[in-house]
Amino acid sequence: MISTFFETIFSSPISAVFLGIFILVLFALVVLVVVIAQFGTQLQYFATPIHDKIAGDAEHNAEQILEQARAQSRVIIATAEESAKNMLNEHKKETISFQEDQKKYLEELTSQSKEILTQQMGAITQSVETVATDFKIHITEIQASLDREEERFKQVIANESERLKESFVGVGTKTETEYHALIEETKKVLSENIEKDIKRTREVLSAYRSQQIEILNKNIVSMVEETARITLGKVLTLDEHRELIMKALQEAKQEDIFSTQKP
Amino acid sequence: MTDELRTLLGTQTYNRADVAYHIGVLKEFLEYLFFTEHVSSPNQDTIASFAQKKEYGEQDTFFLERLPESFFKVFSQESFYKKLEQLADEAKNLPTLSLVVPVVLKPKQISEIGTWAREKILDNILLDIDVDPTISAGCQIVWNDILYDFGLNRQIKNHQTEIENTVHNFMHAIDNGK
Repeated sequence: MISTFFETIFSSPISAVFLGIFILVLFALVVLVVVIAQFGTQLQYFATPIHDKIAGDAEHNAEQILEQARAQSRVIIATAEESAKNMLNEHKKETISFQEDQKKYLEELTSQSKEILTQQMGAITQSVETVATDFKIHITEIQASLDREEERFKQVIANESERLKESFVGVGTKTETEYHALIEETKKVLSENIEKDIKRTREVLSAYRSQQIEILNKNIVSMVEETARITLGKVLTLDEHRELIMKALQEAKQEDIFSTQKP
Repeated sequence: MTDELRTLLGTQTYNRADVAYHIGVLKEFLEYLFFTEHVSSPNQDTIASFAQKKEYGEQDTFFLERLPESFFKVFSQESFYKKLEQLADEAKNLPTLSLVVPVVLKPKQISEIGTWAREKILDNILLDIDVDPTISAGCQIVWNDILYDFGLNRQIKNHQTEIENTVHNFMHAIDNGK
């Protein structure tokens, strides 16, 4: 993963240049700290005047060393900057070259694509035209077929209509004949049935009449009696009743019933 | 038949029920006469007084007024009850003409029928009248325990053939559309 990281870092030209510069500066600072630390330790032993000279020398050496270090660091920085510039330039060149290559590649690719598309569009257009042409042809054929079918169907209808007309004429004639025959038959059957019904009705009526007359004969006296009772009971006065009673007694007298003795 | 009963029947007493009723009225009048008025013979005043006190009607007053003075002489305070019983017993043995008539007759019609019966049948005959509306007209006669139908039904039955012929002719006329 780390290696991947550095590879990624170093793969970028600008980042690599800055990283180099940073490393060099860091190195110079480490050297400077070590020198200062050594110089501070030696100063403890040259506290005395004897050691002042040594300290001075050392300080001088140190300064020299520092100066050298600074000079070296400047050289390093300058070298690093130069290197970085060079790397940047190279990288820029590479980038430009890469961009140009890419541009060129894209242009070629575009050109090829255009060409392919043009070719394909031509093919498609041709196919579409072909299909459209085929479709038109097919439609035309279908239309023609429909026209033929329509014509044939019309012809069939005309033929069937003619045939049906002829059939109907025949059937009508036959039906009319049968109809008249049926009417005659129906009339005959109805007449017979009516005659039978009338005869049966007359018989029933006659039987009913005989039955009613018989009933009437049986009840005629009761009917007259009841009628007379209702009527006379309402219309006769007491004197009229007395007259009828007297008439009955006279009739009984005439019949000589009062001369009879007790049995 | 005693004279008293004959006299009693002569007071327009034709119905057997009237005989019993009149004997009852007579009994009450004699009680009034002997035990209230303390007289042996009645007059108009005693009859009127009796009718007023006992609340009898005009017909009853008329019955008493028609009885002759001689009729009352056979009755005494001691014997009138027995005499009345004898009258009742004698009346029971009188011949009876039983009639069944269609309506309730009034005394006037009963008197006419009774008069006829006493003239034409027997002079001491009594009527026994019942009512049956189904007879319609005429009457039924019971004589010597035998029923004789002289009502309308008998008349109709006597003319049954004529009636049936009339009805049949009428039906034929209907059949012929006349």
